[in-house]
Amino acid sequence: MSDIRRARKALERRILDGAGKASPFDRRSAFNNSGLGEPPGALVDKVARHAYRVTDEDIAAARVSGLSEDQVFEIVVCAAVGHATRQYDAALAALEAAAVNPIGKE
Amino acid sequence: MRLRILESGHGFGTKALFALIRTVSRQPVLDVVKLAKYRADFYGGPMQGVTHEAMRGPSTWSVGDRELMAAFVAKTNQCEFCTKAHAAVAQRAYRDGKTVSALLSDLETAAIAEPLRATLLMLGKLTREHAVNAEDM
Repeated sequence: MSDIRRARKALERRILDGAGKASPFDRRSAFNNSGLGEPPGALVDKVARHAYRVTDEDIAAARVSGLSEDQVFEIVVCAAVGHATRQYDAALAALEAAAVNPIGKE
Repeated sequence: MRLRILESGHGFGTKALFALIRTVSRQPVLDVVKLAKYRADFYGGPMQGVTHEAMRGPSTWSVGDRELMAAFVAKTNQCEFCTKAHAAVAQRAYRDGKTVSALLSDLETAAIAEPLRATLLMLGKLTREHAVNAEDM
């Protein structure tokens, strides 16, 4: 495993499986952008797909739903790292597909 | 609302460090630093390992190239702070401010090597559409 893959794996393991204030289920759901109810689900989707649209109200709504500030912090981190991981994996898969079938050599 | 823990929830040592930064730089501590230093064992520490490998670890891309890619992705993500920060480092690494500015204004016409242009186009699509395929590669 390359150093970058090892570092990415260590980050993923820490935020999903290590000690935290949010439940492992909520952290995993935020990472996968799937399975969280509202309103934290809407915040997670914004963080993952277009983080520049996150507003103060989105954070406030997540807090009102009963999450502590530390839980919101962890869920936002998991949402961001989860989406980055999906993009990274998608790009590596595309690269592998291109290496198997180089353009013009099919 | 902003998370108060990211403003004032840091440990004593980190607060002392922030006070030193404010005194020496005469600037407020950057939000990104406050984020990375909050419960650093959860996110900032392990993320630093990823960032260091990606941005400064062994690679056939130069540091300038990688900072330029980061600036381009940040621009696509509409993050002004990150765009300017990475662009400034790219300019220093390349010792060339004009090319970086031109490229961030118009990737199609900027005077850069084609492999770098093609890579930036692929990264732009991945960032915008969250997906790429073999043809993009």
